[in-house]
Amino acid sequence: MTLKQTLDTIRNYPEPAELLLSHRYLREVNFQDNELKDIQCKEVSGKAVRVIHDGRVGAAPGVFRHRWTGCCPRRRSSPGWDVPRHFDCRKATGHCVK
Amino acid sequence: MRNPLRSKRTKAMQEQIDATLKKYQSKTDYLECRAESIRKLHFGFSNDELTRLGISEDQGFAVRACVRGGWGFASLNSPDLLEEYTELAIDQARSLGNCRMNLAPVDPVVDFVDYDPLEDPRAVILDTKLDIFRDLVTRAREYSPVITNVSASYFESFRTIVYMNSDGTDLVMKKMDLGGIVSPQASRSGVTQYQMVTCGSSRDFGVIRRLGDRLENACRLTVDMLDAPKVKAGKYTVVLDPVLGSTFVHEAFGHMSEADEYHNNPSMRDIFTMGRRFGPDILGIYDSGLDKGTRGYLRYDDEGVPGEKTWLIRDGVLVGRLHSRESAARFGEAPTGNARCINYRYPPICRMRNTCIAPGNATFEDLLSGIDLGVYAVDAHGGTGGEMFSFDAAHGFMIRNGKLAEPVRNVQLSGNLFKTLDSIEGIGRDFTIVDDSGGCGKGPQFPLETTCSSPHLRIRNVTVGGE
Repeated sequence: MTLKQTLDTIRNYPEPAELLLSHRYLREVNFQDNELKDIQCKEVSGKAVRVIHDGRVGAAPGVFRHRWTGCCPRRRSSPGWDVPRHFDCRKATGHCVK
Repeated sequence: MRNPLRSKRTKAMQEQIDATLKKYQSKTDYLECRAESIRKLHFGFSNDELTRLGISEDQGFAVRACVRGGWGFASLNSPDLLEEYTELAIDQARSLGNCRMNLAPVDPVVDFVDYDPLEDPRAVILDTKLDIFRDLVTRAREYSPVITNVSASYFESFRTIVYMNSDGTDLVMKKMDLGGIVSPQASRSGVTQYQMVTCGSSRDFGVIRRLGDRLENACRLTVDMLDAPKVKAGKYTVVLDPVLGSTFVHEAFGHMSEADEYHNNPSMRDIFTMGRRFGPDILGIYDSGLDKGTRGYLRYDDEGVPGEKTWLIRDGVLVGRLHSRESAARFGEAPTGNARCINYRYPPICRMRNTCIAPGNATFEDLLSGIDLGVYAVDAHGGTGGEMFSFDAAHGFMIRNGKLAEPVRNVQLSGNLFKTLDSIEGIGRDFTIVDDSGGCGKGPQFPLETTCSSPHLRIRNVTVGGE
């Protein structure tokens, strides 16, 4: 799903929904026993969606370009989504919005 | 062997990393690329409520480069950034390199490893999985009114890994992993006890269907332990059940066998000298990637080295350790296929697979025989490993005059690894593979699927904490 398709889906979704996009670059320098062991660089890109339905909130993480079908409100930071399949999971768990 | 059924996506990943390797390998002493796609399902219950449920997909790449002994690592999600990040990894390696590359040689491998399920969890619909765990929770709650809380969880993951390196290794590996746990907890008069029924597998959803076979016993123990006295602290001859024995070998000895833990530590290298005696002649410890179906099964590690059975202690004497290609070169030994990473976001490091205490000849009665006053410690509730270890048993029984006697709770075992290994005086013939739903942690890399296995063990002079 492209970014435009994702945004259109959110805009047209019949219930309150929010989308988070993130793109992070990390660089780690690792020492072991006072010796510079390695340098690591990481690109972490993705998106997360949160939908409120019938007083319940569900969020689905996923990585860039890939479908995510789950909901896990405590882990919104992971990326991607797929609303139609996500919907059933959200109803199955059900967390009340406070 | 190329597989004609390989998916378009796998083929595309393979072509992309193949092109990257060809373009950049001449700028490095060693270069490897890994593409990985991961699909996961997980859910959890707290009593009757389904509190979490998720199905997710993830895909990314890892690049590891070595230039003059320096290592650079990069991971990424966006396929169109692969070349840019490969250059970054090479630049980093170049900035660190100041000596000759030291990597133990292995024969390149070209292979395709497919799933080989007994019962494939993908053929079981989500509702059925939820019903299985809902039923387990209900059964546990209905066992006794003092069982006030039951938690349960399930996960499954499917990974496709495409791995290539500049030595010519070209692998496509499909890996499956699953696990489940149900934990009844009982409370009465300020005393709380819990037990865990757990399982894991790399090929069979059937282990989940059989989880309930052990549930009633766990519920009974949970309730019985409310009335059990705390064990009286002291030094005892202790018999460990296979779960606790396998936890001991993994946490206390297994991690210390990971060669990258001490290749820069001269005092530890002195302790772990080949040929040094660590225990009695009956003691054998090994780590194996060959046990199909276990979570520790590993046909190839994450450097493309074939899995094998690696003896660590044989006849009580140190004969091996767990190596990556780099640590093997540093020790002048052969790689053992133990370089593993939890996913594409991390470089491979030395990790265990199925770590085992080899079976002996004793029956359970033989192990109890001759103990006037001792403790039978059963099941594990966690602990810490290393040279000084401490473990909590889920429950225990006193041993009196060579027979099991009254149940006891709060059984905590602690001691020095080397003294404890040397104090093993009996090893059962009842070798048991212990696969649970947990995972092994090392640094930031948690959880990694591993297995540990052991028969019953009899150890003298163990410090037991309690009251």
